[in-house]
Amino acid sequence: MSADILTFIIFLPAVTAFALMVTTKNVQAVRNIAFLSTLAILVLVLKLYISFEPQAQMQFVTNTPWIVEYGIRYYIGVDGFSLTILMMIAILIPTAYLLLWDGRTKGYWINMLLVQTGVTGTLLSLDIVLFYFFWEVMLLPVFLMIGIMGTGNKVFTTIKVTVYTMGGSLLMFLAIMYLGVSYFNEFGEWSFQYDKLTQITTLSHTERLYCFFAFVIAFGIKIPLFPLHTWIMDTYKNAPTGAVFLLSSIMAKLGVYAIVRFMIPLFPDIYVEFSTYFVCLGLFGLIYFGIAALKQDDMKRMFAYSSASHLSFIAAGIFSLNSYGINGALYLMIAHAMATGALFLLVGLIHYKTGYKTISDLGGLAKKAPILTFVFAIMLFANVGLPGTNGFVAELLIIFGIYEFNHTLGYIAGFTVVIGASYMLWMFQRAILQDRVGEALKMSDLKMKEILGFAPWIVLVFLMGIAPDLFIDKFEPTVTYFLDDILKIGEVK
Amino acid sequence: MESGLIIWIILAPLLGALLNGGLYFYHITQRAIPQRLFSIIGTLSPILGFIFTLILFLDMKETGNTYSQDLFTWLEVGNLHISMKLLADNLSIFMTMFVTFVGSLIHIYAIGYMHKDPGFGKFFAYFNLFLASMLILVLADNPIVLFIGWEGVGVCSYLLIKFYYGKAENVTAANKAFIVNRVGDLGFLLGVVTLFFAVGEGDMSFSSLEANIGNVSPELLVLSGVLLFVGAMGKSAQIPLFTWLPDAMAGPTPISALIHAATMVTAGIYMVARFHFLYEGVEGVGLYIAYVGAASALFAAIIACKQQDIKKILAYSTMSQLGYMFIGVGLGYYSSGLFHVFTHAFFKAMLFMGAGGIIIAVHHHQNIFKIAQERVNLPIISGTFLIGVIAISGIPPFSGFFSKDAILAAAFAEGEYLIWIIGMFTAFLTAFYMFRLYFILFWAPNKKVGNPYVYTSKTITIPLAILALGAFGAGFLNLPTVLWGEHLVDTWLLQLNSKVLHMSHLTEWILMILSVGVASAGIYVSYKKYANFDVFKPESEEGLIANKFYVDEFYDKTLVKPIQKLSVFIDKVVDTKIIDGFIMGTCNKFVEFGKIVGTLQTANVRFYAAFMLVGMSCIFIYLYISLGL
Amino acid sequence: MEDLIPFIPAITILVGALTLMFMSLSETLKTKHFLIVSSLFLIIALGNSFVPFGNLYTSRPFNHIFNDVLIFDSFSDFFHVLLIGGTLLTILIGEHYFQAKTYFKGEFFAILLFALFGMMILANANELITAYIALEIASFSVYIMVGFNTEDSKRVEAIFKYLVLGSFIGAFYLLGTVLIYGATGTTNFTQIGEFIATEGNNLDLVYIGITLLLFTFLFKIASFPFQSWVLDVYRGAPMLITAYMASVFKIAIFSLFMRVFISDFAPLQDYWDSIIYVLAVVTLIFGTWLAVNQTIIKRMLAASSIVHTGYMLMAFLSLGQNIASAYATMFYLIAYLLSAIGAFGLISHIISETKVRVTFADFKGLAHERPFLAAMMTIFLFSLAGIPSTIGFIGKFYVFTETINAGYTALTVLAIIATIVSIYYYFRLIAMMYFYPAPLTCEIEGFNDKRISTYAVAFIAALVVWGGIGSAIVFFIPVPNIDAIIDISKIAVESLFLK
Repeated sequence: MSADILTFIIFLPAVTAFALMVTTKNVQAVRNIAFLSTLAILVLVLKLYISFEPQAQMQFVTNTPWIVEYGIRYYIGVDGFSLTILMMIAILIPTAYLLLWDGRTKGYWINMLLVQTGVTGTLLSLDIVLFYFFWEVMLLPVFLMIGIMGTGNKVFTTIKVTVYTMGGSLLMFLAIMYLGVSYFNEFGEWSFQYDKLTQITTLSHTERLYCFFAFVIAFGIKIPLFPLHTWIMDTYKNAPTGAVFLLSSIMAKLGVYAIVRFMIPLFPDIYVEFSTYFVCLGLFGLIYFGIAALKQDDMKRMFAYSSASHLSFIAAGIFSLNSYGINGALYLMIAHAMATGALFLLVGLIHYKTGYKTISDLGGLAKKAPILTFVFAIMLFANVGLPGTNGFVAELLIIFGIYEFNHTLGYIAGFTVVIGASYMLWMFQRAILQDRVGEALKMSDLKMKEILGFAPWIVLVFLMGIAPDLFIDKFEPTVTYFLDDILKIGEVK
Repeated sequence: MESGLIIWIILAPLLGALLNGGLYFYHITQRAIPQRLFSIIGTLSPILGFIFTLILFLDMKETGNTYSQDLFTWLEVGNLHISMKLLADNLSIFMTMFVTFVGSLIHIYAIGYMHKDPGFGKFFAYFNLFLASMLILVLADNPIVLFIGWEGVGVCSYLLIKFYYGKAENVTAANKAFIVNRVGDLGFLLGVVTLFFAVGEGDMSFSSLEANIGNVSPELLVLSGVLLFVGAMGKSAQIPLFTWLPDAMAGPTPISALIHAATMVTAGIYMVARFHFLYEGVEGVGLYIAYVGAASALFAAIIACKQQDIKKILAYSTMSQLGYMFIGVGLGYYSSGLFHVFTHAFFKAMLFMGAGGIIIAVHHHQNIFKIAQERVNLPIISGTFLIGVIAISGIPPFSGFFSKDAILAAAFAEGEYLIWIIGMFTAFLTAFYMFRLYFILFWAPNKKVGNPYVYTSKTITIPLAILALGAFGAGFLNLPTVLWGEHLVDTWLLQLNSKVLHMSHLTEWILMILSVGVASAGIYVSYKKYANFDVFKPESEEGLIANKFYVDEFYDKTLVKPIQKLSVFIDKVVDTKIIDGFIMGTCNKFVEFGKIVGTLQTANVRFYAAFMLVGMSCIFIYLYISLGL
Repeated sequence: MEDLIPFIPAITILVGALTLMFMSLSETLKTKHFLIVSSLFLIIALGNSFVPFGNLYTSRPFNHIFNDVLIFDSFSDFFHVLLIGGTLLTILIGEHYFQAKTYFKGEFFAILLFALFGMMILANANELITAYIALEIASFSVYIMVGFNTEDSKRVEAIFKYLVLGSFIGAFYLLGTVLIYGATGTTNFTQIGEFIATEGNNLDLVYIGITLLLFTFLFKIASFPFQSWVLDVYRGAPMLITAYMASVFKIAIFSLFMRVFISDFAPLQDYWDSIIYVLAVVTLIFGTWLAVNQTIIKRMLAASSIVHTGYMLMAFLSLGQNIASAYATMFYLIAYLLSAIGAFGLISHIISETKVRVTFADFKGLAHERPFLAAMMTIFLFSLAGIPSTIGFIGKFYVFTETINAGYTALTVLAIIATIVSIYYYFRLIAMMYFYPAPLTCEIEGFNDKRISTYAVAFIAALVVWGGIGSAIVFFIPVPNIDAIIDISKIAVESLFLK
């Protein structure tokens, strides 16, 4: 059991999904069963989290051949990094089930399950082809969701996002195959395990550079990094809440995660060589997207920009080459996943109840839905990085990291404190607080079920903000390992 | 020395906040809860806090210990070790004392003021929360924990300013307050980061920073000093980050009294005093602070002379007084600065509370002339108000005199005559506009015969009375030796003072007389001008001063609007047209070209054959060459 | 006597063809019966060809009669299985279509089997003339079948284009044969191989001859510049014949040319590398450009089949560098066979009802009307686009990896770009099916049209997915690993070198 626990975690949702697909037609039943299965996964992950010793190397590894001919293996395992994100996913998804209002079809819930399989698979796979396999598979259900349940110009949006993201992934695929071939030519056997691929010595600097950037493009699109972001706005705007939730608070994070998991070990030298550029790019994105978010009218579109801004900041932290930055980035991934996820869900609810999601049409909700406003405010302040919430810890660490990386950039990084606050509060004022021009909207407050759904998030937001050390302990060794043993930076210091 | 009591000083109001919050949640979801319950919890918690503080203070007073309490490790990454630790030394306990004391009084006052307000419970939850964060700020042992409190008070101030969020301008004011403060926080945070990496060793606690301050190179010391002071500017509303304070008056009056007069706005001064070891190292920065203080003091005083909104006048006077405090701490006379914080807390809180009483009495008018027209008879309020006005104008033996005079004397002693002159002139203006306020509110005749007496609730009058006592007597706590006193506060805060006042008693006497003279001159001028002012012909609101030197408009034009334009530009042009335009453009071009290629598919078999032939011949030509036939 | 055994499959097919021909004399028999009979024969043949399947052997039976013109080995056997299997799938999936369209008379099935017979012999051919005859048997049968679609006005155009251009190319084939004979004095592959091996110099005629043969190859698999006919012919032909040509026929062609280029002509391969390289590049680009603008599904699939030809050419090109790409090619052939038959067959199944669905617009809202079929179609399109969890992905993976391994990285980059575009035009169809509301007059029917076609579609889809997942699900259900395919193709290729 304990050996295959990860396999169960990965495939339980998919199996459930297929079972549901052929058995029942009753949406409510489908939803409940799906919810139960995600709860089961949460239990498994908790078990995992407890029995995980905080140390660097991979644990709970399963490694069996998949496609023998090309040395592709079903090779999964978990370390501090993936564990933390796995925990996050396992908590977010079931609670999100309680909060998704637009899931009125069977396919919606089945897709949610399939996505969960894809996401966890991507997260845990250590064989790079297996990783690519899940990386692509996890997107398909989301595309279907956007296309079927989306709004606005959904067809165009869907096709655009599909080609955009898959195009990027295919470039990465090319790099993957290239690495595999060069491993084959050097060692005479096929293998795509990331730890094997790191042994390649034959590649010239230029070749590695090309591969590196092929990876960067794939991950940069998903994150999104600066010039590769143009798909998110309309996608987030037109997609159904569930899809946006998955894209923003989970899949985008996987882009960052993949950078750490694969690019640092595979191209440490290039990673260090280009770190400055990427930190700059990240900080530029932070400010650029932040400013762009200011005047958005559609809330989902605004959050698209805002999460782009935060994720650029995360990327900057990841590339800052020291434990402050990387720990902070990982912490911000989780903080942001909660905050943005919750905000998207709330916007979804507002849209569902009032029929509007444009700021100019909303207003005066606070009077009608005080509790919703309360939750909204908490998540908003967590997103802004207010002390006492997990966002603050993360942003503080990243600022420290970037400052240590380069003092000047450190000062720029500080602006995260101002930017987020300005657009968020302005939106909060116009959309939620101040009275609406014209007659008030039909709006009802959160129900008990929904409050329950948000409760764990709120608790975590504060717990992670007040006692961050509890959580950072779990993954700090992994970070140190990455820095000292792979990037060989810690030792120099 | 460890002491388990400190945390309870904070927990008391914090638990109060949580309790009230929970009750309010129940109140709005399930069924109504009597106002009384909220008020009991809401007032008991700060009083408890005060009692704990008192116990601790008395203990410290006799033993002379400083206490600290290490709660838990907050964060440990790399060399960064931050522990959630509280510190009760003379400075912090001094602040805690009056924060909890004045705080408690204002809580009591709020019961009366917020009477029958639908958001009564919420108000007290926020109010207690504010007090808790303020105490975290004061009792923090390291800059990060301090920053937690620092931001906490910021949020509470935001929440309370927008307490009546229905009206757009209230929320706008709240946002302004929060965002301007965030700008300050940016400075503070960067200052801390700079300091941490410059110091290089030891953990973050103030003690270890102080111990290792020697490692820091002068430049970095200056840099971090300035950055930290930027934070102070934000919180304490100094030039150029002051614009939020007047607008912040949109909140209910108790807020203005507690947050925007007595406690939160003084956090900046407290923080500078906290970092005294840093500022002692860099005289220049200290002087810079002093000058900023002086400038703000003068600037605010000038604006105050023309304002007509009672709370705005008080707000500007607050800003002006804060300027004085910065002069004090900037010049290294921390105890003097903090003493002014102390006295100011009393009379300014009282003034605000009086103003609140008046505003209620005249059904929420705030324009002083309007109030004067609707004048009603408020004996207690008017009486206490007068005390406050005298105190702030610096007429002995009222508290304001001593504290303000100490600062001016310090400026003179330091040889910063420019600052001294500005200070003096500001003192004149202060006396002038405060008495303008008083004369118009209570003195200037209006034709209405007989002013109806309006009852003001006990919860309002009793705190007023107590504070009036403070406003009158607080000064004696720090009686200078000239007046046969023995600097109680100065001695208590001895640890901070880098220098002590050295000047002949004669000069001191002269200075005192001068400042008294200036003050009375101000009073005289304003008496001439306003004692018999016709309140039905209000002053015009035109002019540079009445419009606050158009600073807001300036910021709006130079910062806010351009950024908003940029935002639109980025979204509509850069992203949509340039970047996405490029990407989609390439795709469309590709498809377009495909159409052209498609035309090769003429459904004409002869053409196909020809096509094949051409291809084949090309291949043959290639072969011909490659085979070298 | 055991010399006869290898012939059994081919003979079965031949007998089947003849039987069907005689059956078609009678008017009473329905299409159903023909279907049953033909599939019966196919199954028998398949069963027989499975007997030696997967073990390594090579034999030249009745050498004194046939004088070494036919060769039976694991390689041909591999292709026999593919060809028969492909044909069988075509018939099964077309069961609905054949019965719905009245113009499919009995003789059609006879011709189909004749074509199959030709292809099978093609896989065995060890001699140029034999190969030509086999090729023409197959081709002519296909010409006729292309013209079967009496309802479609375009059929005449289609059949004649194909006929004219086909015979045009055939002429070049013969010329090539003559030249090679002139140079080597033999038309037997083995002997030609020996000649090439021994005679280092003055092979020019051989070069030219083989180039001419190559044209036929390129024409039949519709590579640039011989691709022009594809769109029109595919458009005009009955749906299933299109599928048949796109998949099975291509495989047959590959069976012949891979045989010779792997074993006998191998020494000369380098001479064509640069040509095939250029052709592969142009084919990819050209096919992509054709595909992006098609509005008629059939034409889109036809154009995309050109792109797939490009991929195959990549693998074919890499043969010279590393033999492993032979396995890649064979795997890709299987992958494409399944995906293409699935896609075309499914469409034919859908259009069997009177209301015609040929353009993208016609597919709007199919998912609401026929959720099951739409899902299947999605699987096939994913497979064609090479999206993971379908066999198409693994196929592409093999081909690309081998191409990189052979050192043609730039070419692979191009192929990747072509794939990116292909995602666009395949995904458009999915978008049509799923993202639009159902047409007003639509009766929701799930998996309730219980006919053989539907089951066949499901079966193929299952195969496609299985091929994509391989044995990843081995933890739950033990299934044969897709590596088996590679192993078999290894054996097949190995058998070419047994002398």
